[in-house]
Amino acid sequence: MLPEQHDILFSFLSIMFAVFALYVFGNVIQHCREREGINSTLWGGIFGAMAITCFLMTVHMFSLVQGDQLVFFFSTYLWTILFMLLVWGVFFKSNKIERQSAPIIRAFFFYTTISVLLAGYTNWLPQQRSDPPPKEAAVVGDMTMEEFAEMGRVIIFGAKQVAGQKSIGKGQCPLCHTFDPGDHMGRCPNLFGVEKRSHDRVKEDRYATSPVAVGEVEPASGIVKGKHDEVPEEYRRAGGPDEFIGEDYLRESLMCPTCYVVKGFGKANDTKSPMPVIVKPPISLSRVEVNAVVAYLQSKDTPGEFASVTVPLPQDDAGNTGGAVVEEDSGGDEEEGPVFVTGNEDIQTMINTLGCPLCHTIPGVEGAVGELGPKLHEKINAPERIKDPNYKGKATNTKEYVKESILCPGCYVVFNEEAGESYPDGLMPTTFGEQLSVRALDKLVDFISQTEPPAGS
Amino acid sequence: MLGKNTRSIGTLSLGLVLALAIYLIPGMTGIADAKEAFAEQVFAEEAFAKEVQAEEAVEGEGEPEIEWSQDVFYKDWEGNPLKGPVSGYAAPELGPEDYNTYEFAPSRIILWVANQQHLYFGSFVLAVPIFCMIIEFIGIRTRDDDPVMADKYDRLARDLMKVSLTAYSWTAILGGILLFTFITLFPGFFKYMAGIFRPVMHVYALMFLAESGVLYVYYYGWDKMMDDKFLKWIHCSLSVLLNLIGTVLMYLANSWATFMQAPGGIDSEGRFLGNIWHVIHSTLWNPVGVHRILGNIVFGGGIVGAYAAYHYLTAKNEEEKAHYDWVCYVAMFIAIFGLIPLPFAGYWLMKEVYAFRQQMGITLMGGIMAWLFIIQAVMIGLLFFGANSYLHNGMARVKGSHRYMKYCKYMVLLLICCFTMWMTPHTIVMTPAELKEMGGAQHPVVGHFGVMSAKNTAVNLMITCTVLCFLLYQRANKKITVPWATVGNCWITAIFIGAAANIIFLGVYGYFLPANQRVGLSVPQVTSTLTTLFAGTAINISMFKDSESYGDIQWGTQSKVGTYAIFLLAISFTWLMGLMGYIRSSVRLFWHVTEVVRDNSVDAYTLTIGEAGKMLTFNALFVWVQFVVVFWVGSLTAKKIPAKAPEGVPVPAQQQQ
Amino acid sequence: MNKNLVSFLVFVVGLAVFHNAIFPIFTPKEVGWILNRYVYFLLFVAYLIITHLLLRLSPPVSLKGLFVWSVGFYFYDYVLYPHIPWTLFITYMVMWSIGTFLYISQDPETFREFRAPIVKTIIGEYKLARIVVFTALPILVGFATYNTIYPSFQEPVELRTVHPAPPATTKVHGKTYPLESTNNPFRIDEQDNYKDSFPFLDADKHEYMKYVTEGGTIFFQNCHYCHGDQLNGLGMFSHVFNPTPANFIDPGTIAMLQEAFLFWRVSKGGPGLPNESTPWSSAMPPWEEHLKTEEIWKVILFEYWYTGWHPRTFGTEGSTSGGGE
Repeated sequence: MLPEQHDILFSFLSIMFAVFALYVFGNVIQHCREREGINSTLWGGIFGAMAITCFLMTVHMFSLVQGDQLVFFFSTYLWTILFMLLVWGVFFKSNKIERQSAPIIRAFFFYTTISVLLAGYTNWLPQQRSDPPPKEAAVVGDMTMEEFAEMGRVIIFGAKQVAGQKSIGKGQCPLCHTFDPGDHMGRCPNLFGVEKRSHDRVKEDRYATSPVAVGEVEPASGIVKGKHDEVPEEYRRAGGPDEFIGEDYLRESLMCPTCYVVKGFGKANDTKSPMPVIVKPPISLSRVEVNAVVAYLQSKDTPGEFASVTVPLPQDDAGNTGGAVVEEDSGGDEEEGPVFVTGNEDIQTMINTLGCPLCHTIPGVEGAVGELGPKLHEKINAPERIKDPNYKGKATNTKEYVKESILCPGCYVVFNEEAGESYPDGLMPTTFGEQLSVRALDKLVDFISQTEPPAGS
Repeated sequence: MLGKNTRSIGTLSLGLVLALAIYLIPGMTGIADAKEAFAEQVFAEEAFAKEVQAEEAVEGEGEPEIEWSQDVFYKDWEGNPLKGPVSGYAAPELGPEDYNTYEFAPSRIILWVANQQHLYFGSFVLAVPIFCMIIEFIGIRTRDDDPVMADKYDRLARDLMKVSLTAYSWTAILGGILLFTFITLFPGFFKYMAGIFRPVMHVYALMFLAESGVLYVYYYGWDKMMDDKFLKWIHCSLSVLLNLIGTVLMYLANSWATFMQAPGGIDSEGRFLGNIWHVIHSTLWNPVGVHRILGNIVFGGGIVGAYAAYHYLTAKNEEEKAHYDWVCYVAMFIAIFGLIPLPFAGYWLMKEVYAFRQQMGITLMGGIMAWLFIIQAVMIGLLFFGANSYLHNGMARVKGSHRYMKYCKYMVLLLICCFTMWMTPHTIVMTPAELKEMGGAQHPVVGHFGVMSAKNTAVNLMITCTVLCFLLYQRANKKITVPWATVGNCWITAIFIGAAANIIFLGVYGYFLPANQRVGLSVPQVTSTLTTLFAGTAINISMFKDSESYGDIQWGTQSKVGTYAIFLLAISFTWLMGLMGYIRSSVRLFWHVTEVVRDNSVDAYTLTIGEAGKMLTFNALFVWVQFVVVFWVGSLTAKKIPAKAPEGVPVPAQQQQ
Repeated sequence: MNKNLVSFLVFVVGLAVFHNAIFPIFTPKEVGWILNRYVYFLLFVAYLIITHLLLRLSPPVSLKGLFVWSVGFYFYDYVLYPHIPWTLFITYMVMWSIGTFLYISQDPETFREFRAPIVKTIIGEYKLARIVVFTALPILVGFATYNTIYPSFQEPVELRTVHPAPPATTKVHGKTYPLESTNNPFRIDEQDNYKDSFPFLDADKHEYMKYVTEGGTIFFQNCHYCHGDQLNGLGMFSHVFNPTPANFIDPGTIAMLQEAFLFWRVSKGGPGLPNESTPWSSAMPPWEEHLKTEEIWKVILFEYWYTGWHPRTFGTEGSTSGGGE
């Protein structure tokens, strides 16, 4: 009941009281007529006045709202009625009061007392109103496009965002890419406005030829450039227009980074992208996840507006063999939870879980050919770096140096001799101390301390 | 004479047991092989559906394909959702245009009031024919032995019917008001419900016609069929027919409520899947039906009791006093008799709720509804106090009762201790200062009473104690003379002590068991209680053979406290019925139809306990005002039939001897 | 001397003597089987009954009712320890008052006897009593009013439903779990087979015990600070929390819950509690941010293993196994 509405119970009781006052008046009149020696005018006047008072008070009850009704009822009306009962008793003085009040009146008061006491008891208990949950939360089942794009956002940025910190999700994208206009600090292109660019890029001349021509196979990923219908079936777009649309460009960029390298962001004269192939280990996004990321990229510049998204929802996706659950199964337990390594895993899994191969080339680890950070040849390099005059760390031997580099990447930044400049500082996450158990750290340090260039090179 | 009277009480009890059994049979057999029968039925339906599908596939080439969808509740043999052809439109997403409001009160409250008033009256008019059936039957059976008594029974049944006749049309009016309230305030939702229940609603309306016809023939043909023995039997069987139709009516109306609470026969979008029986027979249908029948009996007993108590207070002469005193007794007897199995029906209902959605069960028992169950506990306590107070006071007017009256205070003490245990909440409302003083959220002593083990123990002891009180009441004016009196007494004592010991032992043992096994302990506890009830009563009655009487019950000398105890019982029944109805209905929280049609009105919130309590009080008082009016209207037509008593026979029935 | 007066004196003087002289004896620091406050209370009641029997006192019902009521009040207010919260006290006293009333009104004679002094006071047969009562009443009412209006600074009442209704599903680490049908993936053993092995590691059940041990490790790394090293809710930090952390040994906590409920509760912690019945004051963090899904399940496995409880199950096998015992 709203505060500005009437209280049904007390409105009802006040009506009943008015009826009761009328009844008492009638009863008194009747007795005045029957019995001798009573001042009928006086008593009739008194009880008539009371009946009128009660009637007026009942009318007054209806001009009040809930809270005031309650106050008025208990502070004024109830006492008036009790006073009337008392006067009624005085009127019947020494005339067997019990006989005068009809059982109906007594039963009425008995019922009212009992049930109002019960109502009072319920009001004495703790009061909590339970509001329905917001409507969106109630939708269980198929995803909406908003949820789908949100899923893509989580892949990129992680589920938990802390203000002021760069948070990184399973896809590890923000390690290199930036997403806000004007933020050009990244190693890789700023992705603001990528939805728009995705449509234009494929029409550029440079796209057609560099670094591989459209229709040729890009060797690192095995993807045929510019042909949406020759994408591996697992990831292939089902339905939609026949030409190569923006969605396909985004998908291709994820699955085959070197198919097109944005000017100034590649190696070997912008012919080789430093970005890992997203559908392969260690990141290994599934079809649904790739689509989710694309959906996010297509919709991120227009918050709350999903018209530009062309990828299908998992449940509508004809090419989705695993159904909507696929992404929940694979995306669930291991990756999306906090990354944590206990040391029970084998070293390969550990390194992949932590994401080292994204940036580092690690001999002995399959697929670890990252080039954003120094090559890890620590058996040879570490002793040299400790001797480096620029070295300000505290390590005295290889193991200590490796451990320090893992836990405190900024303590010593290696100089990249090929590029003639330092490797970027602050790129390597500083959170490994929270993601490794002591045993895992030992194991990792042991492994990395033994790394050396392969015999061939 | 004594033997005859023994039979009379025996017949009454027997009649009640039989009637109850008849009423429970449909439901109970339902439980017994519900699962298997149901599975088989579902299996057959599945097969049939497949055939149809195959046929359609053959025939319907080129025609639009019939869409098949999965049921939200029904499962087939292997536990996969049952499929059915989509035959209705999807549940609407209700918007502001689907709700109308008045300014003075929220729509939901108005609908609640309309619904509750209709249900109260419906409950009463359904209960009265049950009474009439039983009482008339007993009247016919006792006609040869005790014509005076038989006449009394017959007159009582007829009086009740007369009252019910006015109430019947009143119920119909309230039903109309309810319907209009529903249509005008919740048009969008009503449209959906009407779409699904279209045939049921028509059948319901037609059944009403049948009910009215039988009712009028039954009442107005009373005099005509009075004298001939055969015709009288026909008349009595008319009452059976009347009750059958009434029960069907109630079950049909129940299906709407149970569908809203636990839907079945539709798919997750709310589309009707072509099988109306599935929609009617959703999971809570049977338990709610049985629970309501029992509840109606109790509620009807309460109303008749209060009606008689009122007439007892206003009675002008001794005969009337005696008569209404006796009616009070009969009504209370019936009400208590319905009350005893009521918790079991409640357990069954609760079990089905848990089976439907555990979440719903927890919302009821531990979530936001938990306090309402505490209030229910209070109400149950009031009922026990009222019943015991009535029995004690009733005993006092029986000559020879002084032998047992001295035990009353100990029974009161036991009742109070048990009730204190029963009332102790698991979570106590307290200030932090009090928390610190107690040193934890649980009190080291009374904290033990907060769990289910203690509560089951307490309530079983309370019932046992009430049963004992009843047995003493029965034998209050008898001097047992059977040769095996001592043995019999020992047996009764042994049964009661054994039952109490067993209940207490199991209660204590429950503390050492994990929860899922502890739940099972309530079964032997309840069995002990029921053993005392049946075995105790049986031994007790058989001991009355050839007993000497200290004197008749002095009907018409019921004390004031006893009379008010009946009033207390009546108002408690009313309030409790409203409370439980509110709990059952509001557990849907913000759904019109659980998980299918969401309540998007402004009133979708769940009321605070206090607001709900005020509404319950209003509903209870309002319905009693109406009852008074209806009874008064009913009494206007009555010719004053003087309660004439043949000379030489004591008018007050010697029910007790 | 008036026997009623004797009876009254026996009660009042007896209570004073018992409370001031004997009560301290029965409340030593080390509570024993004999020397405790409840035995003391029984002694007091026995004293009342025996003196009345010996002196052949038979006070009128009104006096008896007064005695009965006062004894109940004395028990709840002084004897029962620690003192129960105010709300519970009120509830108990209402119960006791109803009981007293039932006792008084058990038959018309006792009720009449009880009413007699009251009626006599009102109509003025007991003149002195009437004057006393009618002067005392307004003063009492005034005092009560004063007490109510006098501002007091009570701490707000704590409201908390112990077992909040869980949502139908919960989403942990991106995966949605329907609470009703989710089971612990590590509960690989048949139910209760492991029970006898407590607290020793059972050599026969390698795999099961491995998970339990892992769960235990996680428990002692994360949970035992609050929930205690004996899982009794008395961890080293527990004393600063209100409400105190859950005591898993208590049959009222995990023993009556499904594992999926625990999973939800552990994953979402205090912040994840539903809106209804707020304010909640659970200090439990949402562990999904710190633990992996399997780790949560393992901890739950450990908690049940250590306490020896079996998680609540719903469905046929739970009820039949319960019914059979």
